[in-house]
Amino acid sequence: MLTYLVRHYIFTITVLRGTNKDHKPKSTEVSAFEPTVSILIPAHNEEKVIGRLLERITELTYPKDKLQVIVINDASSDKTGEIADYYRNKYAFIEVLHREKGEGGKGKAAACNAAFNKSKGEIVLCFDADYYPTRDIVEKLAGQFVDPEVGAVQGRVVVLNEPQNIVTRLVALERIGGYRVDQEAREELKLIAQYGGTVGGVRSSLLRSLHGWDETVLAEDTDLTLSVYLAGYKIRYNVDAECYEEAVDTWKAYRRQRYRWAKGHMQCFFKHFWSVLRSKKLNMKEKIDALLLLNVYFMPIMAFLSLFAGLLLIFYGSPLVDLLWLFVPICLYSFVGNFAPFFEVGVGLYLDGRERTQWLIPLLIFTLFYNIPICFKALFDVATSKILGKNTSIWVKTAHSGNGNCYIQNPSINAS
Amino acid sequence: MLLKIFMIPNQISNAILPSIAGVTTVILLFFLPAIIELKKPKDAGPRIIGDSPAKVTLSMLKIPLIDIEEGQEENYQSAMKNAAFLYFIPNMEF
Repeated sequence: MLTYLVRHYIFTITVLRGTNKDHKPKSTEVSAFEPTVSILIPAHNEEKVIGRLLERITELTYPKDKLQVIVINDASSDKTGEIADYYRNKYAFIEVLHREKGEGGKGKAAACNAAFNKSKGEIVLCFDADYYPTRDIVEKLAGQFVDPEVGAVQGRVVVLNEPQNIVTRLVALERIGGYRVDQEAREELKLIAQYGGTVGGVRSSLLRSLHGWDETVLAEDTDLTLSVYLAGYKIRYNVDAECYEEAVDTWKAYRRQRYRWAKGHMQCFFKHFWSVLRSKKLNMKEKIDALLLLNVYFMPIMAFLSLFAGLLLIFYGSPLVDLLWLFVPICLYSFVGNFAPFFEVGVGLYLDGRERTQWLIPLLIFTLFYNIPICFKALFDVATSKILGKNTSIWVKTAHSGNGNCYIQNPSINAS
Repeated sequence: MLLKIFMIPNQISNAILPSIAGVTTVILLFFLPAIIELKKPKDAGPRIIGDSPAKVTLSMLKIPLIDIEEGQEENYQSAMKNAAFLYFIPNMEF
């Protein structure tokens, strides 16, 4: 836990030192490298948001002759397929892959793999249906692959429906800490930049050699992150490549999403732990960062247990009691820090010029308590499936409402 | 003896009540800024993400990007500068 505490400070100070007086991040140089790109958009019952994204896709500034867009209508029961077909009929570079029930609906990794087999681009980018990128995002992401060592790339996610309610506000805080500080520091320090599964992409040849996305884990993005590094490639994070996302807006949706992430991370931990330790392609600091990344969803459990043990010792009058008074606040800090480090979030907001939102930071304590049972359940389920030898992973999709439209600065979207 | 029995609860309540009041005050103060911001948000809302003006203008003018080759870097930078300038021209209309 102390390691995480130190890490948060190192990350935050690194980003603070790396920014200029205008609080702007170090801008990534625009590269004229323009490889062929396939954009995969997995969509399961996304009728409320898919049109918004596809409209934006038609406005992308990347040369259309180098662009292939594949919408995966993954066993949708709403109008997702019809909307996608409308855009396919109108634009030659957009294709639609319809997957019926039985074949489809098995999760994002399976949908992406199906589309990947039809992709022709040198680079494969992924966007979730509720995302809304800047028009020049493909240049900003694909340009990073000019470096042959780069295996994958990740852009910045910004919460679109942030003012909607307290849940979206808290998710936005976590995202700011994660993408404005955490990811940028990893990029700066040449650690393990994380591929987030969307607003990012992978080199096709590398993805082919890895046999696509692993459909057995729930965090296919974290799995790919580790696989890319273990294959000897790097992941670049470009903070300038920004994209809106629609955050979960209820505690129930939050719980489902975090459970999926927690369980997926734990699956990746068991899958990659020894490979990371033994790897000759990772240096020591990359190994440490990779292990900290894999371990992150165990932390609420460990912190809770240590707090519980600490309180027991206090009540039973252990001679260690004096030491525990120091230990408990450190636990508490680290506890919170794993999901939305106060310091990181505060600095992230400061760098984004949003000091007023810092007033909400104390509320992150609620996400902390909410995450404890989620992580316990995830660990229990992972352990059960390990013991029984059965993979019980079921992909639970996050529902999107399209509520964020009013915040998009685009007349065509607002008119519709 | 009787006096002692009545004094113990009094002593406990004397200690507990200020503690509860103190803890409640600290918690309220801890969350007060958040409550104020939630009640009357003064934050401008989600961060506005934007395109790079030069790239968008180049695309709108259908000017192809020049591949990076030896000796071409200066031409590329120059095209980007011109595009950045052109991007602001429409904004000069009143």
